[in-house]
Parts: sequence; structure tokens; C-alpha cells
Amino acid sequence: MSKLAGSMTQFGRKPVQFDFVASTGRTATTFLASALNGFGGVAACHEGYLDGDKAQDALLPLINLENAQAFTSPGAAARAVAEKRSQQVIAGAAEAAGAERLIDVAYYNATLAYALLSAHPSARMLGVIRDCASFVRSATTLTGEDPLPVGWADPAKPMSQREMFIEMGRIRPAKQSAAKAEWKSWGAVRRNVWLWEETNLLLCAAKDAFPERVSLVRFETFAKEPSAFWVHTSAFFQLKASGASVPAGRAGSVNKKPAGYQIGPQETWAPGEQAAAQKSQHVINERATYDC
Amino acid sequence: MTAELSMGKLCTVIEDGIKAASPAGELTENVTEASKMGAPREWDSLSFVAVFNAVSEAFNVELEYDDAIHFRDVKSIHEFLEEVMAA
Repeated sequence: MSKLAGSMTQFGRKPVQFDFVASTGRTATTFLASALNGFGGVAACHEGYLDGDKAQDALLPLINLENAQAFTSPGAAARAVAEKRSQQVIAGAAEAAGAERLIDVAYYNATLAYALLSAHPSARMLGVIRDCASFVRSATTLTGEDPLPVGWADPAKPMSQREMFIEMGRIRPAKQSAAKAEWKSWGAVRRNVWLWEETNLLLCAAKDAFPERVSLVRFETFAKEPSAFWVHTSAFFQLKASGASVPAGRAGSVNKKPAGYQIGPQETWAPGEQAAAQKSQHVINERATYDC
Repeated sequence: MTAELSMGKLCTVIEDGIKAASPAGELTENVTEASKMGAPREWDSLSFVAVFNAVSEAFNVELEYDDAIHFRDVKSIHEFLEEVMAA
């Protein structure tokens, strides 16, 4: 009997297939979770909330502060998974949703990827990678409260308590690192270039460690060629048809930041910011092996 | 003025921090040694930052974001402060 089946039997539950999607954020993850939730037998969450519905109680224990800690400590990542994404937790959530399998779509899955794939021997990860410049433009606002604070705000921007709490859980350079030494001098653009590269390097590392269970896809495919994206994703996750062969809607059309982008195109950034973005984009271009 | 660390004082500081950030200004239950985020329910992501700042000010400790992970329950905050204030 497999370890999975054994642990589920102990709690009187059927084995549950757990899979997850990871990205930097700003990759239409809410839409993606909702679309995945439409497949037969699947309960799909966006950051722990079933179908991304934050008016309801979360289906999975919420993760925020653990994200930053997991980035600098593999042990902390393993503890977070043991506490909040164990096989028992996943089985309980699937049972509560009346589903036979569960998919969580979340930014924190990048830092937890190795621990999740280790703790769930049958889990698969879909990593979605967006191009650096458009991520940075969409990741933050320069003024006013950001309703979707995915990336670092400008250090001078006043923040709400909600923004501050989310920021506490965001990955940041480790103490003694070169980036840490420069961090205070960086504005939002440079900080989010760093965030983009580090997050996507985690996705690449997960693919290196678990090549059979990790698939990297371009966000641009998701946005511009949804049929190709869903054919690949359905096969990779072994999803049952939901009636429609391709979920309605294009990711690109549902991923607009409500207040619009406050950061201009890459060519308007400071020379150092442009150079950093180009360097980071090159790093990921060299490192990532895409399946779609 | 810096407060001496005690469990009772810490609970009071946390409770006042949550109240300050809560629209109603009252809690569904008192903060005790067993309290954690979500219990009382007003101790949520919004009041978290108020608690973090209130503890920093009351016990005169400089906190960084990396310390936030210790602020999810009273016992962990107490253990963290004991360690920091003894250093």
C-alpha cells in the first residue's frame, strides 16, 4: 500500500490527488483557478479559497508569513507544508468540497514547491512564467492602496495595514546577500525585477528536481493561445473534460489591474532598472525549459 | 516607557493593539496565553500589523519583517521577546 493510501485509510478518507500551480502572481491565477474548478471532480483554490471566492471561509489554511520564511529556509518550507498542506489537510479540504482531487493556485507555491512535491509523491506542479517587464509593470502601484499587492511597493509609498501584512510575507533578499546590501536603494521596479527572477528560479529548480512532475508554461501561451494551453494543462493534470474543451475567456483579457498600470513601459525606466530587467529576463530565458 | 515582559502585560498590549485596529473596538474574547490569530477572530491580517507595532513600542524592541513569523500566537511572541530582550 502506498504511503498516501495508508495515511488516508487511517483517517477513513479516500486518497486525494493534489496538484498545484505556482507563479510570481499577475498571471491570471484567479481566472486559472476558476477554470480548473470547472473540471469534473476538481476542487480548485486560489490561495486557499475555493474558486477564488474570498467571501467564503478558506478551504485550505492560509499561507502568508510562511512564504518569506520558506524562501530562506528549506526546513521552514517543510514545516509549513507539514502544518498546512499535509496529506491529511488536503484530504480534509477535498472532502469538504466534495471533490476527489484538489488543485491550489498560488504565488506561495513557488517557495513551497520542493517541499510540496516531496511531501506529496504524486503531486504535479504547473509553473507559469510571465515576461519580466510586463510582470513588473503590473505588480504594484505607485500611489494609493493597491487592491492586488503582488509585488513590492515603492519604499516611499504609504501603505495600508493590509498591504503591510501582505508585504511581510513576500520574499526578500536573505541577510548577507548582495541584493540585501542594495535593497534599501532600490525602488519598486528594481525590487520587483528581483522578485520575478528569484520566484522563477524556484520554478526552474523544481523542474530540475522533479522533471516528470513539473511543467513550465509561458504566460503568453495562456494569454494568446488558450487552446494550446488548455490542451497541455488538461493532459498534464489528467483532467476530466468539463463539457467545454477550452474554458471560456482568455487570460490576457481577465488580467488587467483594476486601476491600470502606474509603471510605464520598460523603455521609460531608469537605465539601471532596464539593465537589471534585461539581465534577469536573460537568466530565466537560459534557465527555463518550457513545455508549452 | 518600556514595559517589563510578563505574560499578563503582553496579553494586554496585544489586546489593545487588536482593539485599536478593529472597527468595533471590542473583542469577542479576551487575549490570553492561548490566543492566536483567528482567536479572538478580530486578530486577523489587518490587526496583525497593529499588534506587531504595539509590541515593538511597548517592549522597546526593534522589529524587522523577518520577525513577523513569530507573531501568530501569544506564546510564540512571548518566547521571541524573551530571547530578544535577553540578548
